Amino acid sequence: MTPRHHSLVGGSVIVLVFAAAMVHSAPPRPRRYVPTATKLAEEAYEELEAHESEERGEALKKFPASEWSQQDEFHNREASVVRDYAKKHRMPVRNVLDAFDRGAHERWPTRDGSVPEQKVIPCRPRLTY
Amino acid sequence: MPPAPHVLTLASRVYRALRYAAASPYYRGAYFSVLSLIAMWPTLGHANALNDFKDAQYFQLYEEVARLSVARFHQLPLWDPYYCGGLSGVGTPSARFVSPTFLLTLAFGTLRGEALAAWLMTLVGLEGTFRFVRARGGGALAAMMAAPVFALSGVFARSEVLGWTNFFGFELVPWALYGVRLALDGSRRGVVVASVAMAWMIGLGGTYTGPLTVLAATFETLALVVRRARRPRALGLMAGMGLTVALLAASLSAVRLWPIAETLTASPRILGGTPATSLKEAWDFLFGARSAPFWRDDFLVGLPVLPLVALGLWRRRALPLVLAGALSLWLALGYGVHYSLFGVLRTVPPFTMLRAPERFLVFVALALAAIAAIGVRRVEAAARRRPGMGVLALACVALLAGDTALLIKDQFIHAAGRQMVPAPAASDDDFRQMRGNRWLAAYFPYMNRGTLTCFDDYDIAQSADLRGDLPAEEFLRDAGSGTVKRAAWSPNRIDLKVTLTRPARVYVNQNWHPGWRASAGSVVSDGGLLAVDLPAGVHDLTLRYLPRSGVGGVGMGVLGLVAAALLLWRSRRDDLVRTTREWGGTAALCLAPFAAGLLTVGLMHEPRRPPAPLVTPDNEPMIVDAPPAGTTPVNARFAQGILLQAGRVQLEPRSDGRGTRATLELDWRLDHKLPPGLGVFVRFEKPGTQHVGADHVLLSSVMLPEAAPVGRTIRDFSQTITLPPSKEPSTWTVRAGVWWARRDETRLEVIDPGSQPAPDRAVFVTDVRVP
Repeated sequence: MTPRHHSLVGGSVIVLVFAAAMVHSAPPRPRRYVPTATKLAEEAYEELEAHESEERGEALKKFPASEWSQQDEFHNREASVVRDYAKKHRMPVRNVLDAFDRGAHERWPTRDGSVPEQKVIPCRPRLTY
Repeated sequence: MPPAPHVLTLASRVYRALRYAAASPYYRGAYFSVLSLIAMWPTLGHANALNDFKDAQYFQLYEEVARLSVARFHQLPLWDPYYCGGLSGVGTPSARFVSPTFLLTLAFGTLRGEALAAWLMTLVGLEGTFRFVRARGGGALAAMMAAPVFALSGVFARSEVLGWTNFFGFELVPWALYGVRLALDGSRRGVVVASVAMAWMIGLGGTYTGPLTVLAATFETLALVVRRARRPRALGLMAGMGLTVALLAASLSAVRLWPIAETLTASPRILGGTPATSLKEAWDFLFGARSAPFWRDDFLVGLPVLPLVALGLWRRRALPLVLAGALSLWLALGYGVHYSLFGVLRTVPPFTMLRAPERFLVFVALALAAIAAIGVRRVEAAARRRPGMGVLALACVALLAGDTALLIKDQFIHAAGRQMVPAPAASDDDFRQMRGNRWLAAYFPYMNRGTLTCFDDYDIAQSADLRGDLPAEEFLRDAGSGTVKRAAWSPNRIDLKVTLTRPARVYVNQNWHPGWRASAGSVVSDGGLLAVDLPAGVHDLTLRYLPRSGVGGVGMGVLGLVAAALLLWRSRRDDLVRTTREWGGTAALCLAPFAAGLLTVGLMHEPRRPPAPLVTPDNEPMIVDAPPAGTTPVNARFAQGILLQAGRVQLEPRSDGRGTRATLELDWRLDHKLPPGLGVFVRFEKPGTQHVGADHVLLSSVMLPEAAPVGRTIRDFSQTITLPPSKEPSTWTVRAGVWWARRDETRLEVIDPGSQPAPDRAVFVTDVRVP
C-alpha cells in the first residue's frame, strides 16, 4: 500500500467515527411546550407555596448567621419539592416552574394567605464548601 | 524452524507495523477517534438530556443564554440577564462559550453541543498528549498508547458527571506545554500552539485550567533554562520567545481576561478553608480506591501503568517529569503536609482564589503518562539489541492497552452515575424575571425567564431591589410622572417608549453595570438597580450594553487571531526565530493587538464602578473616631497591632416566632495596615453544647481587613444572626477573635485579653440575655 492508500484508510475511519458520533447523539423529535391548564397550575402553586414557611424555617436552623445561605438552602429544599411534585403529578418540571412564575406575577392565593417573598438576598457564597 | 523464532519474528513484525501506524497521523487519528468515540459512547447517547446536578444547572444556563443571544437575538453574548438579575456574560469566569466548542452549541443546541464538545475535547487531548509525550522522548507507539493515560483519566470522567465541561480545558494542557517547549526553542508555530491552547482553555471557563497551566508552563520554562544555563545567547532568545507567547496568549484571551478582571475586582472571590489530601487519598485518586466500585476514583490513571512508570523513572530524560510530578503531588496534598506548598501558592494572586488542591493531580497524571512512555522506549531500545526483548516491548504496549480499557470502563461507570433528566421544552414568551431557583437554573432560559436567586463562587454585584413579581420589567416608581412601554427586548438592548409629564427615573428590573449606555438621559445605579434619569417629554429610549472591556477584548482577540495566522503563514517558509531582529518582528506582531485595547480605552468612556458605601446597616458611617455610645468596652489586643475596642449586641424578636434576631457590632482599631488573609471569628455560646458561629472576612460585609484604615475606629456589623428559641430566658456569651481565615486558619495570638481570659484565643465581648 502506498502512503496515499494509508491516508485513505485512516481518513475513512475518521469520517465514519464522526458520522457515528453524529447519528448516536441525534436528538429525538423536539418536544413542543404545552402550557398547564390554569386550574392545575393554581393547584400546583398553592401546594408548593404551602411548603415555603416550613422549608425556610429548616434552612434558618441550618444557617442561623448567613442570610444568603438560608435563602440558598431554602431553594435547595424547594427544588426537591418541585421535582417530587412534577414526578407525582406527571408534570414537566418546567411547567411546575411556570406555575411559580404565574402565581407570583398574577398574585394567586396561597393556602395560608401569605404573600411569598419576591425579593432576593444578593449572592454571598460562604468561605468554605 | 523452532516455534520461538517464529514468535519473535511475528512479534517484531507486529511491533514494526504498530510503530508505523502510530507515526502516521491518519492511522493515529483513526485510533484516537475510535477510542474517544468508545469512551464517550454513553455520553453521546444521552446528548439531549439535561444534567440535573446543581453545578451543571448554572453551567448549562450560561451556555444556553449565550446561544440564545447569538441564535435568537443576533448579538454577542456580552450580557446575561437570565441569572442573578443580570451579569456580564463574558465576565462570568466559569462560562465556557468563548471557545471553538461554542460552534457545536450553535449548530446542535446546548445539550447535544455539550456532549459533542466533551467528545471532541477528548480527541484533542489524545493527540495533544501524544505530541507532548513525543517531545519528551517517548517513541511514537509508546506515546500513542500512553496518551489515554492522561486524556481518558478520571478527572474527565468525573467532570462529565458534575457537568463541569469547562474542566475539559485540561485536555489542552499538553498542547500548551508542547507549544511552550517548541516556542522556547524558537518556533513561531510553537508560539501559536501555546497561545491558542491557553486562550482556548480560558475561553472554556478555565478558572482552574488557566492558572494551573501557567504554573506548569513556568516549570517547563525553568526546566529548559536549567538545561541551557551554559548558553546565555540561547537563554536570551528563550526569554524573548516566552514573552511573545505571553503577549499573544493575553491578546487572544483578552475578551475573557479583561471582563473577568473587572468582575473579580468589583467582587473578589473570598475563599477560606485548609483543604488537605492525604497520601493515601492521592494514591486512591490516581490508582483507584478498593472500596469504590471497580477501583475508580477522581483522577484515575490506572494501576497497570505503574510498572512502566517504574521502568521510565530512572531515565535521565524523565527527570524534569519526575520533578514536575513530585511538585504537583506536593501541591495536591494541600494543607495536609507540614510545609504546604499550596499554602504558599495561595498567598500569591490570582492563586488566592483557588481551592481543591487535589486538582494538581491532573499534572501528575500527565507526568505519569510521559514517564510510562519513556519506560516503553527503554524496552524498545533494548529490543533493537536483543530481539527477544521485542516480546517484552509488545507486552508493555499490551499493558497500556489494558490500562486504556480500564479507563474506558471507568468512563462508562461515571457516565451511568449521571443524573440525566428530559430536556425542557422551549417557549418564546416575553422575558421577565422571577424569583427562580439556582438549583434548577438550567430550566429558566427555556422559559425566557431570569432566575434572581443564584450562585457562583464570588460575591455577585446584585441589587437587593430586584423583584420576581413585577407587572412590568421596566417601570416608574413615581407612577404619576408618566408611562413606560417596552418596544423591543434583547439581552444587550432594550427599547422603551417613555412619556413623562415631569423629570423622572425609569427603572429596569436588572442589575446596573458600568457598560450600560442610554440614547437619552443618564444611566444611574439606584441601589444597584439599572435606571435612567430622563427629562419630561416623549422619549424613544434605547438602553445598550456595550462594555469597554468587551469591545476592547473582542478587538484584541480578532487582531490576535490575525497575528496568529500571520505567524503560522510565516512558519511555513521558516519556522525558527534565530536572530534578535527576527524575534523583534515576531514580538511586534504579538504586541500589535494591544493597540486595539489602548484605542478602546482612549475612545470609549465608561464610569468606574463606585466602591461599596462604607456605612453600617443603619446607614451610619462605618469609620469613626471612637466606639459609639452604648457599646461595651472590650479593649482586647491581638497580634498584628489589632485592638478590639468595644462591642455590643442588639436583639429583636422574630415575628415568625423562630427565635431572636441578634446583630453584633465589633469596633476595631488598627496600629498599622494589615496583611491580606485575615478574618474575624465570632461565637455565640450558651452553657451546654449549643453555639452559633458568625465568622466573616468582610468588615460590615463591605471592607476587607487589609483595606481598613489605620488609627480610626472601624464599626464591623455582623449579618443578622438568629438565636434559636427556648422555653426559658437564656444567657449567651459572645466571644470573638482574629484568624487567618484565608490562609492556614490559625488564630491570632491575644496579647491582652481585656477584662476576662481568652480561651482558644477568643476574647470575651459581652453576655446577652435572651428573653
